[in-house]
Amino acid sequence: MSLFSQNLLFASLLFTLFSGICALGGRSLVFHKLSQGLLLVSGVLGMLASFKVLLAPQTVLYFGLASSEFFPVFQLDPYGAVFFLLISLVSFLSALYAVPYLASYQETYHLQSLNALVATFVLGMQLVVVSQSPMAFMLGWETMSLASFFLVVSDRSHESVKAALLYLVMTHLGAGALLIGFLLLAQGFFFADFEQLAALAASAPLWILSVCFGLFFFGFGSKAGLVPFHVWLPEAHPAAPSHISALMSGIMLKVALYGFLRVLLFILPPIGATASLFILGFGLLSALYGVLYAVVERDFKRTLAFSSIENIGLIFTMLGVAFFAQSQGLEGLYQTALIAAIFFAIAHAIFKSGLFLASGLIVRAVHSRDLEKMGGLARQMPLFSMVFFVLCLAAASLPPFAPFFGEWIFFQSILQNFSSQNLFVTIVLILTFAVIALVGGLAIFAMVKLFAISMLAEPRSEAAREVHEKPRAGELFSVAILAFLALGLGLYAPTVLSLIGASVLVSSPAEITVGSATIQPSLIFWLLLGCVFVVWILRRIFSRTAHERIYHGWDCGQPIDASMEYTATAFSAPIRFFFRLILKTKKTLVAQPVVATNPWITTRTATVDLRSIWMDYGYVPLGRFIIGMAEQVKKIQSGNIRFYLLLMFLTLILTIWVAL
Amino acid sequence: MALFLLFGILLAASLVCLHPRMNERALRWVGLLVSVITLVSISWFTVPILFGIAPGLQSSWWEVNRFSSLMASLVAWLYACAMLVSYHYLDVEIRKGILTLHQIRLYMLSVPLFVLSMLVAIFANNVGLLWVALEATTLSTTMLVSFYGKKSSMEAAWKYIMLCSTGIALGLFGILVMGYAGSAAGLHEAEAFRINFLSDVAPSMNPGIVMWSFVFLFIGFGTKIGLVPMHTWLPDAHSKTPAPVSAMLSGILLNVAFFTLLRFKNIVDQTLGSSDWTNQFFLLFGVLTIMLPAIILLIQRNYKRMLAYSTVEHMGIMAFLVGLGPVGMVAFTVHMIGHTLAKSTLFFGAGELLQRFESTKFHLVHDVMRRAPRTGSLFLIATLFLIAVPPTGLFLSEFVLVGLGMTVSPILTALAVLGITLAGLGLLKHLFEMLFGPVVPEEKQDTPVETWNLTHTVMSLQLAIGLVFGIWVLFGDGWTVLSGISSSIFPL
Amino acid sequence: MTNSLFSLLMLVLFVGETLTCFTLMRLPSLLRFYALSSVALGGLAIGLALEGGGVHLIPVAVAVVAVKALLVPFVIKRMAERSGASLRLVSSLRPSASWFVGIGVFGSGISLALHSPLYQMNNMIQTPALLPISFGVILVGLVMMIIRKDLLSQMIGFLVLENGIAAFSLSALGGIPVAIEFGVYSAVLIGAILMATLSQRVQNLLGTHDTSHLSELTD
Repeated sequence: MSLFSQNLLFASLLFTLFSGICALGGRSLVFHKLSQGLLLVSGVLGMLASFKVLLAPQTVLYFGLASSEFFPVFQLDPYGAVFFLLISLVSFLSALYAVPYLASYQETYHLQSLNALVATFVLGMQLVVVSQSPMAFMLGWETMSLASFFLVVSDRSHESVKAALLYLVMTHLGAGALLIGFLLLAQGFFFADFEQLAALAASAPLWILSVCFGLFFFGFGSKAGLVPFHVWLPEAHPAAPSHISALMSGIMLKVALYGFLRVLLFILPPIGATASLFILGFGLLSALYGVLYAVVERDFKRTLAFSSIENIGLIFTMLGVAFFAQSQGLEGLYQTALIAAIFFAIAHAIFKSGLFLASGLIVRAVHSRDLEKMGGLARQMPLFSMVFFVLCLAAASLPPFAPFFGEWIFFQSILQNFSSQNLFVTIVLILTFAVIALVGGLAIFAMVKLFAISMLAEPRSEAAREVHEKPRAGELFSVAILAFLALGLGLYAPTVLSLIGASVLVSSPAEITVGSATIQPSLIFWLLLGCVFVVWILRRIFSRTAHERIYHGWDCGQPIDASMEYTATAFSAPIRFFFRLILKTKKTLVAQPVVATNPWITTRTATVDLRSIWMDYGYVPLGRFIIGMAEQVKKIQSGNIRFYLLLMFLTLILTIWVAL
Repeated sequence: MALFLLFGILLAASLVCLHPRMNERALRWVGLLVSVITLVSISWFTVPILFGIAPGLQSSWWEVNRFSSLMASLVAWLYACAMLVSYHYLDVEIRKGILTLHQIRLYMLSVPLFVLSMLVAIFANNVGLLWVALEATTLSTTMLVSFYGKKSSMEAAWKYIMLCSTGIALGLFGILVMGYAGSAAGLHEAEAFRINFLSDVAPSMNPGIVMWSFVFLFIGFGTKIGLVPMHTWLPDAHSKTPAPVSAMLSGILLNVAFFTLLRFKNIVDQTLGSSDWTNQFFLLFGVLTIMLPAIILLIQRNYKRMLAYSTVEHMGIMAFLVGLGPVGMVAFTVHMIGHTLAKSTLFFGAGELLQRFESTKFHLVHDVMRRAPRTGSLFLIATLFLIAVPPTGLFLSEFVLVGLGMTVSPILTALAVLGITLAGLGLLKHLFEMLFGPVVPEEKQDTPVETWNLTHTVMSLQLAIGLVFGIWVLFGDGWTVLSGISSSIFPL
Repeated sequence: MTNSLFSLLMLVLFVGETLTCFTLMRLPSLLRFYALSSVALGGLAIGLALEGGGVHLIPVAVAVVAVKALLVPFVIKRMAERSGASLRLVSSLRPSASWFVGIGVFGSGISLALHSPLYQMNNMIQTPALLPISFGVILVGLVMMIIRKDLLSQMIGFLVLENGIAAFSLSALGGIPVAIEFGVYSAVLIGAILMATLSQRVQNLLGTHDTSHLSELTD
């Protein structure tokens, strides 16, 4: 039996590999189904393995490759198990979803390579989480990054290629930073494992630690989508097929978080106040920036991507506060904030995967990602819209769903520490509190927009009026499970929180009992349910249904149509106005005369383009500068042989002069 | 001796092509046959030595050790692959009317001589012989650079022969200076040109003179290796030869030149008592050789030149690895094998693309993934091999590069990583334009439907071997075996 | 210093003719002086052999004269005539300026050699004067390749460089083993033939042998 459980982990990875190999088998749908089936098995095995580790602390699952010279064992410790569970869960559900979903996209995607890449992608993430040495970590990391890069181009369109290349730049630079960071820390023992690395870090000079922290922050932050390294995210995540967007947004960002925390908690010595404020600052910036764009964005999937940036920002804010508290000696706040961050990350993985999977169904129904072309879908897909509604509520961090509790215990512990004697600490906490509160409000705004514009009112386009491709059982089922989990995780928040506490913090967390004492999820849940029930009863009693009559709407005699509806653009106009310093927009109004001879009667088209200040003032000029520099450097290849000979001659003379 | 028989066969194969009654089919068959014979006999001869089953040999003119056996096996392997590809490549060119019988004859005359000179350079124990062989590699390929007779290929050939010959002449000067140091240390005239004797008396040689010698050897052979800023001929020459020859030039010839330089480095290190002084050369020129092509790759417009610049970059990586000491040498060995397999595959693919789309410019080749899916996918996979995606051997060697480099010089290593990253980006950026970009009106529109041909088979075979090799060094005992091989020239 | 008058004469001739090569602007005269300097090199080898350097230097001297003074100039001249190349050569410098530059480069080569450890342990060199001169000749050859614009003079610059190296081998080592020496000479010969063939083909294709027309590969 123990042999079996030891091999669970290995089997999970092996099945992922099989899934990839099987996908390459052929064009037929059989191979597609078989491949997804194997991925399902891998997911189940992975969940079993992680539960085994999580529920019995002290156990560690491992496997090793006996013949290798320098490859250490792969092992799953409780901290890794939290994330391994997430990977297994989301890959399981996305495989379930993909079976019918991809079948309707056989023309668009090359299913063989797509499925193989998905399996490689999942395998890469699994490897990252189970690896215990820089070498293995980078192996998994690169596998994950490149597989996801190719997934972004899976529809081979020009936009996807552009998005993918932007992604490649960031991910490649990020991976380089991580590699340098790990190996700078290793000081020549490049086959060391993480424990040895921690020992080396304990005695490393400060400059190495600071440089490493910077590199890790960039490496993991760029993968996680922190502003200002986020530019690739809103381009790349929407470009992929929806179940892959779910994998990317739902868990790849978490893998980056995993790596960051793995380094901060297990390898580097405690970071000081400056570094933690650094994390905090970037977290707050990302949260605010992400949510603002989520509010004003009109593309369904891009809205979700920006919402991911916001959530990642919140998680990093929590981490920043946690490490800040640690540096100030506030052990209680440290533990609570850390656990809240991980809890929130889990919740985000669940609801964001759900939302992305849902987006796939909506986009397929409407044949567009543009919110302005949606509307009225709730009437066509009632069951689906219920599930989607639940997920939107979860994403807006409302009770009784899981994200709410993540934020709630964080807020509570911040409030408890307002009274701390240190003025500086209080100021930091108050500022954080204020920004987070603003972000929370705006997040609700964004989610209201997302749900209301897409689901309610009249259809805004022909495609939305007549939906041909309704969600199928498998697809609906996986979205529903995620919605259900978002609720369930909320109801069992205290249990989960203490489980995380046990897995992340070595010492038994004392302060977390405060969290579970002050939040009563089930109470809140029943209270809410009670309210709904009471309202329903009251309505039954007092409203006089008999006097209601159904009649068409009246608008001065004109028929009511979709062009009178509130649009996503108009809905977000106030926000655009208030934050116009950050939210750069470019309005263009084109007036074209209907008859060429009469300039007075014209058709006018207005377009509002969202700009990104980071792209416009940061990356684009930088890219131009590098290309310009390359043009200059290329002049060395002048084509003139005499110049080449001169170069050789000068090199010779210079070398003689310098070296001898 | 088995070697002489082989050398004789190569020479005969080359001369038989001069026979006026040979038609192009017969010429291609002779080329193919001789390459297979070479592969078989070289493997029969070197494999036991390579794996340490048989001891190496040493005579006054020849030396065969584990590392040179590895080099020779690579040469023979690539020769056979290139000839297989040539068989198809030349066939297509003839049918299109691009080549004449005369040119095929020239091709089949030059290639065996080229391979012969590489093998001699690898196995030579006498520095004079080594020099002659290295010069012969340049001379035997010059006519292949000017093969297509266009203005640009003439230009490339002229630059190739002038710059390489000058470089090698400087190398000869270095060799003579070293011989001078050797005779000053008590060697006789004939002995002063034998590497093993030089190695024996190395500790008693005058360090000042040996350092002078090394500067000239480094700059001279560095020209042949393609180290920046002496690399200027390389993109021209490697992009103008017929694709199978480009594969051999980029894939193996530079390694042979590198190997030659390493043998001298060994002697210098023994004289100076430490390798620090020579390592600085390799580190500095290595970083320069990584950075410059990496930047140029970002704005490259021609895919054969892109591959050539990428070769320069990889020579930089290899130089950097050499500069990192004995462990770096093991990684060097890994990198060399991985690079040879990947780069030659890419050049074979480039030849296939050129024949299909009739241009080497990026802006005239688009949508390859739909119009030539086989070549496109193999090309893509080979590029991934080249940018060190796990589990390839290059991943390990670049990991070691960073790991070791951090202890030696963090700043230079960081620059090297930046360069490698930029180069990877440049390669993929251009590749994606080519693979997925929409067809433009200027380019060739009606390409015939692609069928699987000999080139694809060779490419897949090479990639499969590369993959197995990568898994072997990463997860198997490859690192141990290669440590043993590389320690035969640089003891750990 | 060299002890025989013959060697001294050859040395002076060698330097003088090499420097003249550096400045001449017409192909026939340039080739003639190159051939003469090669003859002087052969003479130096014979001188060395006479002073006790060994009998094996005699065939070396013969080979030098045969290859460098007869065959190579003949091949170049033949190719140039067949392609109808202009006999007037192109340089970045005027002849008078060339003299100054040539002497300057030669002088700096000598000073480089005098500062090198090679010269400092000259107790075992048979012809100490030849060593710095060979350095000078090598540098002159290199610079000649850089400042000359046409293919043919670049080629001769390369050959001058090769001469310098041969002179160095004579002075420092008293000649290298005959087998290697012949290998080197045949490499030089084949190289020269190839270069000449190429320059002829360039001449046929472009109608000029100016290298500034060969500068299109700039990507």
